[in-house]
Amino acid sequence: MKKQYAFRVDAEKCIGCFTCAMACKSYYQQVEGVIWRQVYPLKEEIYPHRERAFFSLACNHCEDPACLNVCPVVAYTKREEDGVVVHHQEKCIGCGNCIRSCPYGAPKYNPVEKRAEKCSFCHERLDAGLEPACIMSCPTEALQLVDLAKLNETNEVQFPAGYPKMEKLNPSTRFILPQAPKMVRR
Amino acid sequence: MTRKGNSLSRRGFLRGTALAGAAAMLPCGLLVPNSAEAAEAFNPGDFTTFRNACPRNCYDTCSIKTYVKDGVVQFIEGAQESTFTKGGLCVKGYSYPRKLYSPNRVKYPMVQDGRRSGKWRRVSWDEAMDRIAKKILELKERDDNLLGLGLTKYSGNFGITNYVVEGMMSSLGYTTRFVGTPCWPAGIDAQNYDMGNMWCNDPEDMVKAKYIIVWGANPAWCSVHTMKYIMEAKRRGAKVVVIDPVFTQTAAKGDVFWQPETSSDGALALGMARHILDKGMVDREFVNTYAIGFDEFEDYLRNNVTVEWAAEKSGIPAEQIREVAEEFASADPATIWIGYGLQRHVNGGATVRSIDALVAMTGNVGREGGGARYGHLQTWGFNYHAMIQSPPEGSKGFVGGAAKGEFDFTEADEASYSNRTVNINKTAQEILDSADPAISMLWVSCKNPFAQDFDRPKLEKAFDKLEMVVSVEQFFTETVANSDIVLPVTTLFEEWTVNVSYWHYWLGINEQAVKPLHESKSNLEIAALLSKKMNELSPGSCTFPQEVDTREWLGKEFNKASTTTSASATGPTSRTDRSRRSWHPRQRGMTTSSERPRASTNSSPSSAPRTGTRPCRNTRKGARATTPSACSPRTPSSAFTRSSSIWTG
Repeated sequence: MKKQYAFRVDAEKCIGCFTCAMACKSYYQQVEGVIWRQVYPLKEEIYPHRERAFFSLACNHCEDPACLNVCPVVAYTKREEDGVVVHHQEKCIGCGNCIRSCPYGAPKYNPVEKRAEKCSFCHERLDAGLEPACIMSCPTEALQLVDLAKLNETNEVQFPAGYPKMEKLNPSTRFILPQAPKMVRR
Repeated sequence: MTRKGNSLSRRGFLRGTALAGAAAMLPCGLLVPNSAEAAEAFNPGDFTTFRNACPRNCYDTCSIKTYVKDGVVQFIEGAQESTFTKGGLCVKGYSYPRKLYSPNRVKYPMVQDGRRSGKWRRVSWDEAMDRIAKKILELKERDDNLLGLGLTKYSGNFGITNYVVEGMMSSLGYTTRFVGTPCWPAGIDAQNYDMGNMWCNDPEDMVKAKYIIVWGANPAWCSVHTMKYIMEAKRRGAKVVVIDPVFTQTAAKGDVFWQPETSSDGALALGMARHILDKGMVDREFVNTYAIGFDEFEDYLRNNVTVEWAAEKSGIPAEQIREVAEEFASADPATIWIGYGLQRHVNGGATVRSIDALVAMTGNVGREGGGARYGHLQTWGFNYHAMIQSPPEGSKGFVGGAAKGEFDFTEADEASYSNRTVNINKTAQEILDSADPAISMLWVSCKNPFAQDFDRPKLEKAFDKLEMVVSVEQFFTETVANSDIVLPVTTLFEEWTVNVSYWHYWLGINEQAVKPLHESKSNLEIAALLSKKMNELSPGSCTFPQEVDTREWLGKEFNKASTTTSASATGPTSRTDRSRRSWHPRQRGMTTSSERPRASTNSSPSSAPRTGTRPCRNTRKGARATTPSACSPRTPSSAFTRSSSIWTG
């Protein structure tokens, strides 16, 4: 398998503190309303306690990205060296195809530039040997950078409940499912 | 994007389109979006980096690395050099650049024509200070003292140089101070009484614990950086029990969650202690060697406590109490994190003492990976140079029998006058009740009583009694709305200071990363400006220096840097000693317990403060190795003496 960088989202460690989302915002200062990474509480059907388990999600840097496939002007490329899906905003014409096509809602419309944009996996930081801003910020190491080609652990899940199962796209994000404690209530 | 939306399907496009008009301008004019597809690799050399420290009243007191380009803070991150902060801040920390450049900041000194009217007018610093100084002189003339001037300040900015606010007041004369602590005094008294000192283990050693009880604390929300140690301990096989009346985020991360009745924690702890006693699991060697009063405690448990009683009080089944008690007693080492919530009840101090006893009787006090962890003040040994100022000659103040103010470092017999101290937890009532002279003018700094104190209508009524309210703020808070004058104060990026934690053992230097925006000034500069105006209007009416270099004043907080200054009237050594003993409202506050001598000498590093983030090595090592403290069972623990029996529910 070729090198494919991915986000490993460990919901067992995630405390839903939103630090990753804010670190992204601090680093890129996206315009108002544009969010690349967001933290989603799991519905109670998935985890029994309201707002006590979370998935932190951004672009999944898919093997076969919908955004790339529908873009009429080749504004998306997938990097050979690590599989990161890059949006080249200077080529984007703002048609919105990617935004409509991505089942994970990763591309966002930038109302100032009138173009799309999305999580870049901080590839300019990766190239400098640094972690993406979100991963570096996580206080519990719940968000990690992994290479799918080297991923050996067996408890990762690709399509947990609540996350759209788009096998054809083959999203790279991997999940560790949250646990619940033994409850002793008064 | 709402949190609750939880929609992972297509979204944003329509919303984005709708926003196109409204969001065409960034809220923070100086913060421009970074390119998402920079052609070249990120180069830290493109930025000037500065060290900052989070000034919040928070366990974590993060070390921040600030990236500046073109005189603008571009982004910040957690300092990686601090093993505690470890490269990450929290959601609030990462929002600081937007706070710095927020268009909603108080930008200039402003005067409000009518409280709560919202009719603010910009005035010059000179005019603002003129109004303030004239009012102070008017009060002095009218009352023949300055007790009509009150100061209420708490933990809005924990930078050490911000204790200049108290210093500024002292340099004007004897004033009325709101003292005490709304936070953690019962637990401090309990720990000081039990262990001679409140001195928690380094949170980083929690990874070595084999059993962790997080009791009434919610670090997943209130100390996110400590969670990684708890999780690592868990990964290494430790069991984590979370006790809380609410199913918190921390509780969701534990192995077992106990939800007891509120304020039944003392009963639970005693019930566990009784069971450990019954099972013969007491660490006899520890209690015989290091503890005082264990026999009495044993009698008390046998005569007054049963596991069934604890179960009835707490709602936790007896077999659960037995199970966890046995597991806790047999784990080696085991630790309890005692939160601040459970001591904010009737019997709060006794509750903490009961838990201390549980930790001590299992021999877990003074051990790496063990400990009854509550907090510490061991890294706060600064000079408090900015704070310690002398009143002008001939000042008159409160006479006779005054409670010592928490920032009053003068000896009782040094002056016949003192500040008048009133209870910070009764702000409104104290203002309403004050007489001879009544509090007529209030200075509010590092605090937002209208958001944090109770009984707002009464607070409004109390404020309406005041002739002048001056707020020093960054934003137009509800307290500012109830003020006459607001002075713009700097954010962490715009001033020099130093911050330490009451939990971990790192020290964070806070450098000035950018010049103060608008007309904001640091509390130090405000004090100097007020002094200038006071002396202009009435020479000799304020002793505070009229010119200050904030970086130089930061240096004066360290070690012997301040020995040459005129303010060190009591000599640096003894003063340092005393300030260490009573530096802070939460340390002294309204506490009355006898103070025990401390063994450590100085916990601050001796190097120049501009070298960035560094741990207080003296304390980190010294605490474990040489000093008698809660971390080291070399002195007798009085965890078992009589007053444990206060807790009889």
